[in-house]
Amino acid sequence: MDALCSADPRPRGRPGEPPVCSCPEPGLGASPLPWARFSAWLECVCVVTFDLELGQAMELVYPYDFRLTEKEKTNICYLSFPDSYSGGLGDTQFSFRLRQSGGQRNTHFGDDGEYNREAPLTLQRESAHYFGYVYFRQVKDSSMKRGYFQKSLVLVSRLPYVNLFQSLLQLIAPEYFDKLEPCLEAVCNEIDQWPPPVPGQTLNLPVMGIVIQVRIPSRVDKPGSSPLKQFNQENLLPAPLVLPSVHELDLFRCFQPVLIHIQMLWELMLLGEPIVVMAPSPTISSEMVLALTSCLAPLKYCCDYRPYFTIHDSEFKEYTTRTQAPPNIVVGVTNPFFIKTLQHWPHLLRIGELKMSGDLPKQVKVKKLTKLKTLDTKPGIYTSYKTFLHKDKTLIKRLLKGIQRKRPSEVQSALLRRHLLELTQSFIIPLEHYIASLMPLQRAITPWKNPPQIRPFRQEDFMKTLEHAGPQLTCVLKGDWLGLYRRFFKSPNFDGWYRQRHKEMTQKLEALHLEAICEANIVAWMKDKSEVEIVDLVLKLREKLIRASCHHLPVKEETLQRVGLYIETIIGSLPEDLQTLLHHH
Amino acid sequence: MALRELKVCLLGDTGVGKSSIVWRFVEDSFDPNINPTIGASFMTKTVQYQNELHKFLIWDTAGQERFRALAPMYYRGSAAAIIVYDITKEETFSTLKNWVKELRQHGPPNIVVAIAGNKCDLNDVREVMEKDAKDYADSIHAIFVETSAKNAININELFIEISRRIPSTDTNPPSSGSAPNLLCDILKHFTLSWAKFELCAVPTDCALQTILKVYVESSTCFTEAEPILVCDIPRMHV
Repeated sequence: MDALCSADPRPRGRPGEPPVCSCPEPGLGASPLPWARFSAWLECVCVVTFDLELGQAMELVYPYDFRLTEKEKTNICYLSFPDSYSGGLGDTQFSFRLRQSGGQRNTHFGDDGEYNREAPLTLQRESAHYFGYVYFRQVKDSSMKRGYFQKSLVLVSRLPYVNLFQSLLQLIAPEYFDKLEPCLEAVCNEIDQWPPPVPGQTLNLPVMGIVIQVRIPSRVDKPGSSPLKQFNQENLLPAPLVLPSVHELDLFRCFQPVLIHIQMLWELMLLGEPIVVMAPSPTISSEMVLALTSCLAPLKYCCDYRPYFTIHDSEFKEYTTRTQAPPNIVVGVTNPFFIKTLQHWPHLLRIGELKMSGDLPKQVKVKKLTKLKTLDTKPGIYTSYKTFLHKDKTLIKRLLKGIQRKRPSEVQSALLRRHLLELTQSFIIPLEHYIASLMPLQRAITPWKNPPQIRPFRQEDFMKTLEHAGPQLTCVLKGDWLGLYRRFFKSPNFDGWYRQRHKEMTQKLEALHLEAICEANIVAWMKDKSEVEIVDLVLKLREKLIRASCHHLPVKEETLQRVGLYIETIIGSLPEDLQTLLHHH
Repeated sequence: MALRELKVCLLGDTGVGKSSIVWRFVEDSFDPNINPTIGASFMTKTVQYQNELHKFLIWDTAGQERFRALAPMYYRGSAAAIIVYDITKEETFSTLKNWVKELRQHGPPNIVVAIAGNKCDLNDVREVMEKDAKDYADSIHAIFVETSAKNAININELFIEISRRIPSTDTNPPSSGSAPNLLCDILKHFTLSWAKFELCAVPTDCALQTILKVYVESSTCFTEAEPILVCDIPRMHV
């Protein structure tokens, strides 16, 4: 085999491979669990069809033993079809995200932890939601009672790899509609031979006679670095189908009708404002919502979002209720009925089919919310929101010039992505600096006391730091940065960011504390201590070791071993009866 | 040393030993209780041939009838097809002839065909005479060997013979192996120029597609999955 991370040659269901266990039972696979490799990528594949009597119906779930609750099945059925009448014939692709219902379930996939620790925060596996990636075919078919063939092939996954899974669908769905179940079976078995997604690795993923090559981003990647460059560094072979990214959409294409409002949209997303995206198709709706949620990277968008949402969804009532303020969520919808249902929401982005004015894409206008009540709502951003920062006119000019010069969409997207990245970084760097200053001093960490506390985050203290080290250092945009921070503190995105940082810092403190214990002179400390105190120390150290391994604290293996040795030394110094007791403990 | 990627697919009736041949070639092991393949399984092995490295991208297909319609996905773009029959089962040899016909009609035009009569360790229950099979193979200009995955007979030889039959890079440019590299070079070149010229005056997607299309069409023994390369050009980021 090559050193390349290509698929393991051990297909599921092969007994008697390089002897791991002495007598493999016939018919049992080499993988510890059936579908273990498959479920590192996908939960299941669904086929949703239109039944004359039932409406949308689940025709098939594969692997057959994968359990979806009835609620999930119903939601998937509706989310996999256009919500309102769509006369368009042909194939369309879109994505959705749905809430898992029925509590935690055992997946075949063992450990989210390791992947989630190394993946960028924005690409972590979802624990309470599923993503659905849909390939919908609608063609005339006189053999069907309805005169139409309407069917969706849906990949259900916990990974937000929209680009990978939509590319995969492009390959497999047309073949599936032609060759049916054996094709699906073959594809799933091929995916069950894929290497797991390991952040930082470039993987070869064989499927249907083709090898897809793609790199899984890692948390330690430099933000905004070119995936192609990383690919070259690893000096891998060219593969037939190289995907530049598992998750990145063509941002420029998605944002074409709203380029001049990028600043406003970025702020609305940063603040976690409730937004409805009303689009002419599930494709446009889902791409716009996913583009919006990705525009904060590397900051994680911590609110709920639904790239495509229908009136049949089980959360419909929850989201449309008028008894509470609208939730912090971005929903993409196509059914005009939502304009009426969601007219109390503060921001509605209505996009139409892309229109050109001259050689430039027509830009939607900002409109008053009061204009919304008409039945046929014209494209526009319906909001009373005033941006805190001024818009970046040079960026817009540059992008528009690029359109006139027919600059490739990829390059335009790269420009746009870079701009958004720099904007987010300018905003977040002062926060990172401030929170880092809340860490106790190294000398405050002593072995015989509990690790010191991280100092509390005081918004006013933070605001004071802005005068000298604010975003003005890295960003030319003028405006009310202070006001933006104040609003941000109230948003779920701040909360999510703060919790994440606080968790990391706490773990760092615990790690440093363990190291301090390692450096300490335990024997000297024990001299004048009572047995009770010593036993207490043993128990505390043990607890620390368990925490270190459970939480994967950033400690060297060496440190852990030394602490283990200390425990042995301490126990050895105690009377024998206590020793046996502690060893049995 | 130049590296060439060669897509190879295995075809043939169920139970003739396609997976066992691949298993022997890639892992040098054998399992008498191997399960039937579902869909296809993929493995790679790189071997040196003269002054080149040949990386075999092996697609081992399912022999069961219900997967029959999937075969084109696997022989599409293949440099070689190994069609396997079982020397102790006459009917598997008839199936083989159908595969040859299908490849002639729908397979890549210059595909190298190799016929492997597997299970030659079971000579005493033989149903297909070696000479008959050899004559047939000669008549269609195919490679022919009798193999035993169980006893490791003629397995490596089979792949060496495929290496030999694949048009070499020197005599027949542009050849299959260098094509993906060249493609990558083209793409890299454009990416660099985009960066250099301040993102203006770059070739459009359309131009790039034309270049690739011309290139792909002109390389007759291009081994990769051509149509996909043409319509799905990797998106580049500067």
